[in-house]
Amino acid sequence: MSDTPTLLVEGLHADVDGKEILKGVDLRVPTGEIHALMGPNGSGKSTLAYTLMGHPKYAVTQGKASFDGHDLLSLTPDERARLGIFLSFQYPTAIPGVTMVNFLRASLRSLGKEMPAREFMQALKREMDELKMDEQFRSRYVNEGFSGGEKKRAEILQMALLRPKLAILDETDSGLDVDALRTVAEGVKRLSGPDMGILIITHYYRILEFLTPDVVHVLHDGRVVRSGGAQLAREIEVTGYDPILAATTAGAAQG
Amino acid sequence: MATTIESASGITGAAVETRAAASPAWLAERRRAAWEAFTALPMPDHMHDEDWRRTDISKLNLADFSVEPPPGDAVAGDALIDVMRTLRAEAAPDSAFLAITRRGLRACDEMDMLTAQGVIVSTLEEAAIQHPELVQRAFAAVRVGESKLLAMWDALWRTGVFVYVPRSVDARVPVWAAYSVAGDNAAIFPATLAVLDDNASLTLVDSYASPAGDAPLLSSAAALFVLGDDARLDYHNVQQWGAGAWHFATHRAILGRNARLRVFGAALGSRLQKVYWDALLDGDGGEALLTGVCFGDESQHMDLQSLQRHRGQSTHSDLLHKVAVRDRAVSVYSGLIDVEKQAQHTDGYVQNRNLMLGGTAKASGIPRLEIKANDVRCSHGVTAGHIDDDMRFYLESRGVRRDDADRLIVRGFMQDALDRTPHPGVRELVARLLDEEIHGRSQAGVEAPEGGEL
Amino acid sequence: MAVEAHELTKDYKYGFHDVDISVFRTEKGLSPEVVAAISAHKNEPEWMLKFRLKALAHFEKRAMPTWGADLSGIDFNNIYYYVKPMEEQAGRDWDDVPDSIKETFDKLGIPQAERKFLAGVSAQYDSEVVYHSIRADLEKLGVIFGDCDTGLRDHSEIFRKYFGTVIPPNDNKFAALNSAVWSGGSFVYVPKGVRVDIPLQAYFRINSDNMGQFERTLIIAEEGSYVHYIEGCTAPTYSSDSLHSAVVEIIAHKDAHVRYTTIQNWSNNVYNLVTKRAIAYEGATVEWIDGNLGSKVTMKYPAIYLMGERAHGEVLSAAFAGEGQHQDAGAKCVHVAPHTTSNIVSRSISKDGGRTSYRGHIKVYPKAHDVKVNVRCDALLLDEASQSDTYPYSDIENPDVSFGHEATVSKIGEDQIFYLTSRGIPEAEATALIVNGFFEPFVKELPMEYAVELNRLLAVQMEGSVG
Repeated sequence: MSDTPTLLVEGLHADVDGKEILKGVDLRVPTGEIHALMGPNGSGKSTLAYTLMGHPKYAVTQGKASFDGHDLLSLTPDERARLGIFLSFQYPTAIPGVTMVNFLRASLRSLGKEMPAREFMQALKREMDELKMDEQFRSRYVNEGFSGGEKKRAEILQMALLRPKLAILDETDSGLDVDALRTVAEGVKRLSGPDMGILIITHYYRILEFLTPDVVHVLHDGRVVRSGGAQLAREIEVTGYDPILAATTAGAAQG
Repeated sequence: MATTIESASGITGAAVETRAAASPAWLAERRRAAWEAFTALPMPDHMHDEDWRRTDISKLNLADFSVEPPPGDAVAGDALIDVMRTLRAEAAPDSAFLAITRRGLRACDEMDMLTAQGVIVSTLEEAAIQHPELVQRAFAAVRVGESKLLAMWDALWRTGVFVYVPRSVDARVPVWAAYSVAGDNAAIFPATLAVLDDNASLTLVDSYASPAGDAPLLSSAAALFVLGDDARLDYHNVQQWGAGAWHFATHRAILGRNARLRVFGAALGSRLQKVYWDALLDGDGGEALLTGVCFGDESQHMDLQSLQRHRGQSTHSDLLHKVAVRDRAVSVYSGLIDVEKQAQHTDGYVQNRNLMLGGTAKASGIPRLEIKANDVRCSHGVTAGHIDDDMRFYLESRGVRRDDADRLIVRGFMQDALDRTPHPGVRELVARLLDEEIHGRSQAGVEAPEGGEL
Repeated sequence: MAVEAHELTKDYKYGFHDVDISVFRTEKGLSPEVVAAISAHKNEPEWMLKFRLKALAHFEKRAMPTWGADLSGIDFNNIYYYVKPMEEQAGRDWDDVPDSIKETFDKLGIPQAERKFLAGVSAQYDSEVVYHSIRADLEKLGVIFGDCDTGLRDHSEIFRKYFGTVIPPNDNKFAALNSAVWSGGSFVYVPKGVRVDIPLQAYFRINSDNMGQFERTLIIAEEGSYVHYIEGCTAPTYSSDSLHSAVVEIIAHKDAHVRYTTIQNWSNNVYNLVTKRAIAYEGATVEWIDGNLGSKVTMKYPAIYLMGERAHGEVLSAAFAGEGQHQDAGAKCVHVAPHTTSNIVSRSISKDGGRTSYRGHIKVYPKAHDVKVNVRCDALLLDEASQSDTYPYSDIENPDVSFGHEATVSKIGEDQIFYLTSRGIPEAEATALIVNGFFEPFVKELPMEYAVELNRLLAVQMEGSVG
């Protein structure tokens, strides 16, 4: 195999509250590529994101997931982060009383990426400016009282500072107006490159206008049922999911 | 009279007499009446007294404690006073400083600025002689014989601190009263009273400390404040008694028209404490903001009982009590927002949030409302719970290890209470002490500086 | 929002039969002889007599509660503790019935026959057909729905197994009283897996005898069963008795679901002191839907003990206190087993000097981990004379919980009134609308005919109460 670190998911089954949501997901995302994961509501997109990141509520019952050859499923979330995995949350959690600065520094420290205070503040300012975030967000408490757009920007800000090898973006476009979407998408684009794999989870086509995917996967009822190039996303935009899912079922029926 | 000779060093009538002998007539009379009430009243009992139902002091034996330090040992406590002095230097270096032990007033520094303004700062004993009417105004906040433990304080306090701020004077520096005690089986009665005339303002800090360790200690304290119209008082209380201490305290303020009271209490020490905060909003337009942080570990039992009584119109009270408990610690919060019939346009709030960090820790919350006026807005909330899984996951997903994540969360949990601390220096001091607690180093009692002993 | 007459009357066809022609009565006051006489008249087995006498001894020994509402007006010696003579029952003259009550009947569209009964003028309420056919259906399913006297006699084994096990006589003074002199009340038994789709209404079987002072209700739901029991009615109900002290025990076995709805609107002379408690076993759900509109004083705190894992408790309480009334109500949830949840919602309104108090207790035992509890109490004060109190106790003894309690007390917001009046609605009506909306979480849990009645009753209560 090549040197490229790759996210490899094989036959992954996962439960939430005793209900099976992922029913055998297969996925391969190499560093340097942008993949989109699309699918109707309830297909399990966010479940996959949380499962890959190791949320305690999600129980893997079968299958494998690894990144860069390292098994993920036996690792705690912070260990996965140290492997280079980053999740941009659909609903970022508020952490009362902890400032953005303290949080970011704690994170960088734990990831072995600590920098001297001055350098850090400069990097922070730079990235915040790029994302058109007001300076005062530095001293705000993490995600507390942030609007939807501000939360998403704060997620990408973290991505910019942490420089992960694999970024999973869970519905980063939801709740954003056109301008905010452009800012966020361009932020992601700026960070993308040969050293980063990106998995964009989205319901709609909008963000993919800014971030052209190399591969598009369709998730339905807990399984990847179709994969294709960027034009698959455009197809979904035009026809919706039904024809694609029908084709898959028919295909499956024919064996 | 009794045939046995009572020791004047125990909690006895003889000890009361010693104090009465050194007090002006009016105070001697008050002490004796308080002692009589004390002997007549039974000890609070968790079986029969609703207020004490969750706080069991049956193991407390008053006869164990001495109100006088062992004779001859003059330097006992000096090292401890230095530690207190250092804390005060860290938080409020410009403050007027009084250090009090069982032996009396041991330090009295930086009074000049305040004296020049006409502010009276002295021991309470001295003020009782020099300014009886002023002192009586403060004492009026407590009815003699109100309760057994308060009566004990009323009879046996010594030294104490008294502050009077004249009309329209803004006391330029804070007053910092440090009560400390060293030695086994000591009993101390901190007494800080202040009277603020109309439009006066003052920042006041009471700090209590004894050496870290299990030495049995009894503290029965009171801090009483009378605020004139438009007066403003910021009162801070930092309690770091050692882990063997029984601590009972009443902090009570009576507010005049448009007066503002801000209270911040940090309870980190003691084996068992029951503290009362009473904000009596008698005048129209008064405002009381009460904030508390409490960290209980090992087997600590921390009980806070609050009263926000709204008597005047258009008054506002807001209490925020943040508690973290782990190991076998127990937190009890009981409060009452009492809005009298004529107290229209009252806004009254109480929030008690308990973070339970494992072990067999327990939290009880009893926030009560008695509302007799209708044009009001009153609400309260109590929560108790463990660290939120989603918060932990979010931090972990950013690479932060679980222990560090938990510490960040607990520290964040306390932040909004710290944000309400009126004096920035005290805020930083308490933040530092909380950080120590969060890292597993109990702040019950103070440590000697390197190589020293307390 | 016009209400059709038939909507109100259709379920009043549910009536009862059982004309009681007994003229037995005990003398006033309480003594072992009175208790023995009651037991003898009912032909009870020995064990029940012993039970009653022991309860009486406890009642006499036990002090009156030092908390709660003011009960000093109760004269224990001036009460008939058992069946009153027919003559006395029918002693109230229609002319004596207060006009306000008659007007309320008018506005609620209460049928004539029922009015006299509710007003205490007629001793009987006579309508049988629907009740009997429902009974036949229930019997086919193996469901027992009768009164406790019959339960004791005809189903003694089950009865004895559960009676007094949820609320022992020494639980509190008034449970002791009830245990000594109980009579009437319902006995419901639902076999394993049976789902009773129609709500069982106590109203089916009312006669003066059963709508008594010391009702005792026992509901047993076997594994996987479902039943909804309703008692009371929204129409003002006259009672010559000044003391009502009922006991309700519910046992919900594994995965069973019991909902118990009460709407109480006793006349303003009644002290209504009730002990209601349920035990929920593994996976079971118990819901108390508790509406307190009447009585001079009510003290009632429906409780659920969550004894089995994954059990769930729900209390929805609505209280309205008008002039001279004190509704001291609340809820109690005790989490003994892990993975249990409870939810309490309380809404109360005081007006014209009325007083509402919420008294609640949440306890989570040390072994009960992974527990979620939520309590929400809201109170509205409609005028200066009224009062509201909240006394919530919580004792959380396991750190692995998520507990939240929130309460608010206020008057109706000016903004809300302004918004409605700016749309042309007169202030009094706006207030009534807001009051209705305030009670909505409670009302929407009631069967339709009750909901309709309750809304009309609230509208009547609100008349003339321009703020």
